Amino acid sequence: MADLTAASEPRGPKPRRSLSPTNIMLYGTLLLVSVYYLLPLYVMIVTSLKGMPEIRLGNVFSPPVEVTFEPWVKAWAEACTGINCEGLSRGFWNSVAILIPSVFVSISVASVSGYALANWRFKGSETFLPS
Amino acid sequence: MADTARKPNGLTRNLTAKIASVPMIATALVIFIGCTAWTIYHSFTRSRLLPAPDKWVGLDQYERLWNTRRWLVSIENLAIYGICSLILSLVIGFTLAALLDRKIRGENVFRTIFLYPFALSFIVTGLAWQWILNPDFGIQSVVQGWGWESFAFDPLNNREIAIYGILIAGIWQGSGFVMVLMLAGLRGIDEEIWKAARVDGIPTWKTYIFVIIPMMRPVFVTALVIIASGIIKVYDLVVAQTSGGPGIATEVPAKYVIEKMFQSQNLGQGFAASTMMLLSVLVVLIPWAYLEFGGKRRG
Amino acid sequence: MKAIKTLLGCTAICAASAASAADLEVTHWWTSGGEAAAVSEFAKAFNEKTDHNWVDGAIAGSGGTARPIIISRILGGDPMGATQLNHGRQAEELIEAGLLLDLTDVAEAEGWKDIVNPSSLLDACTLDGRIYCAPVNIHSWQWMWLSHQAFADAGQPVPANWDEFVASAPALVEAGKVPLAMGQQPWQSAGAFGVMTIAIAGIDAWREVTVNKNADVAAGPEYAKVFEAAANAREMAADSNVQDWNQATNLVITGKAGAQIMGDWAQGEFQVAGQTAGEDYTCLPGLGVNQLLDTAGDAFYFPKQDDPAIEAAQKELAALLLSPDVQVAFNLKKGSLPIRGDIDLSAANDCMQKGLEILASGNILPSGDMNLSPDTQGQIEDLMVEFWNDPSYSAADAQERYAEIIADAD
Repeated sequence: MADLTAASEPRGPKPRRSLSPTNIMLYGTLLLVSVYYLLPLYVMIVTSLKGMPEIRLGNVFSPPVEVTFEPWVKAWAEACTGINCEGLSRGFWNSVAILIPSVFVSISVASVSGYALANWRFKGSETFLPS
Repeated sequence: MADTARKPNGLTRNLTAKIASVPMIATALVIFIGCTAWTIYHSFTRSRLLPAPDKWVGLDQYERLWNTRRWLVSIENLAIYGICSLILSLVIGFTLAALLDRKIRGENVFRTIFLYPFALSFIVTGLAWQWILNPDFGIQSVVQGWGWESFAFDPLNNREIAIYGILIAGIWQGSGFVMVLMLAGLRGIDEEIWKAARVDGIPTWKTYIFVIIPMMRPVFVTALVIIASGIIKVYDLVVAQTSGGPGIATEVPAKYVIEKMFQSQNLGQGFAASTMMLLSVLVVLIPWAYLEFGGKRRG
Repeated sequence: MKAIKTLLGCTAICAASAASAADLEVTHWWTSGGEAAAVSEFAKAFNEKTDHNWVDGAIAGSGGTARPIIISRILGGDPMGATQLNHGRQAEELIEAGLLLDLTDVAEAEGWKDIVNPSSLLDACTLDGRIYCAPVNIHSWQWMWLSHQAFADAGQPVPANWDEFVASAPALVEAGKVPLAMGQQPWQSAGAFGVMTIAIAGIDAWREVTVNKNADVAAGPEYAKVFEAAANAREMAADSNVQDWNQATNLVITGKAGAQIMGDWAQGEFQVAGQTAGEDYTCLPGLGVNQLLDTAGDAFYFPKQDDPAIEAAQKELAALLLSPDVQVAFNLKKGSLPIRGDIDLSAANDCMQKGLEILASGNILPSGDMNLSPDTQGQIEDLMVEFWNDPSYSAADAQERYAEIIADAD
């Protein structure tokens, strides 16, 4: 903490040695926090590669004994909703169909409004853009 | 934002800007004010499946609302979840941003790791954490498998702490975004500040708390507004993770509103509850807006 | 021969409205394996026997998710050709608003009055003497499912009624079993309570409360016994940490739990697991006390459309849904009971046969759906799910709240 005076580093004091206690603390904390953030992703991927019996028996963290891509194929193209069996693909294209117009419309409306707010400060304009 | 705007003198000044703002103002008036008024009006009626403007019942819906245990539990949960998630998001987000700002190696990798949950929907978040917190498959069973037989960690099945199980998932999903906002704020801090702090020999942590954080006030306000609006609306996370259970231990107001409106087919009750939600937002927002803008005008 | 009669009836209607091929979108929430198989029987029959097309509009999720979507589409002026809804009071306001097709002429041509058994099903579709929906099956809540393995492991005989079950619970606990499997969804809590009411308080008290909304009876001694029993059952179910009903059923299937109170749809789970009624599991209608069935079920409603061609197709579908062979095919897959008493279901298994017998003997009750508004039911569910999951909620307090809800019911 005290060896900050030396260099004219741009911002944030840079730890000098790569194995200083500060550095170990720093990377240690970041790695530990990363575990918390990555855990669910790991669980999702590992579980998606297991077969149903394996899911029922094991815990969610154990790696798959027998890797299978069957669930991926099923989710994308074969899963049934009622008697339509098209899987996720249909929903995915729906999302794309919603995404394109909504991006277009919201950007065009927002840019017009943004122009207005930037150039014309009226009483209460903060209501629309609190910053 | 610096106050660079010119004073509006007469209608003709800034005409294009005024025209350009018409859609925004119209949307605000019609959609926000109009729909809000409509909702509030119907909360005083006995509307069932369909809105029934002529069946006026006064405050009956509100009386029933505040006599419902589920609503009271919902409010309490929202308060616990809200306060904890506000504080934790800000603390975690700022701490992570400060750590990343210390010129570390692999900043991009860490940033991606912390931010990716934000790209996932609450439904996926809720389901993934439901598995991890499940006592038979998740953390509890793993730790017990290591030989610590008496280890118990099953927040989602314990009424007393179930809401904290939701909190774990909520923080996981949202704190990365706060981190990015904070990081952007930190990058905007003038280097001279750090130099001055170093010259004066102020310890790093003191510089953060007494110099940097006060300078980042606008970033904190933005983060606060975004987190708070997310908290009030929390619904899908609860539905995916616990469906409000065990019992009614993790019910939240938004879920009450939706279920009363559509499942119980009691629009009046749902509207009364949503009006109360709006009111609670205003109770928080008005003093804040007064401080923020009232102060500016005086200054 | 009846099939021919129905076909004739159908042709009469078809001829009357000069049918041309129409696409009929049908929304429903039957998305699980067995349910989807059952609904495809409808689709198959509709595509094969008429000129029209079944356009499947399945909505994933439970009725709770699907119903708002369906209702908002009808209200929003984008009505589907036909839709599943639980009959009862859910559609009341839609009918009053004139948004649903009047099926009275179809019902008269097909003679629904004579064939639908129990007739209360048709009553639930009727408002002011007009018929607005086509009932397709009967589901009943009044069942308890018992695992033979669990009782064998505990060294106990399989109980034949609720009292014997309660008596054997300590032995089950000793053998490391959960006596009563119970999911945590609100409708499960409310449903199980309903079953216990009929078994313990008796029909008269139940009818007084549910049909006549008598709050004094709800606060009275018969119901006090039910709440005591429910508090007791709550202790027996304390260790079942599952959410969904089928997970709870799975506890019974695997012998980890002694029993579950659940409707006849649980039957499908036992079937999928390859278990045999009477050997691996036992079903007790009315908890073995009052052998009665309540007759809830699913029905199809037909939102009003401007196009006469579509209206004709809607009426043809309505007639088809109740025709004997479609009823048999559908209900065998669905595990529910058919709505007409005049068809042969010898292919049905043990438990279904028990149900059919009770149905034939006329020991039936109208379901809660038909008597209580969704609002009242929602309040009861809120109360029950809290009561079942909070051991500090005393039976007396819960009963007091229950009586309040009944007093406010409309």
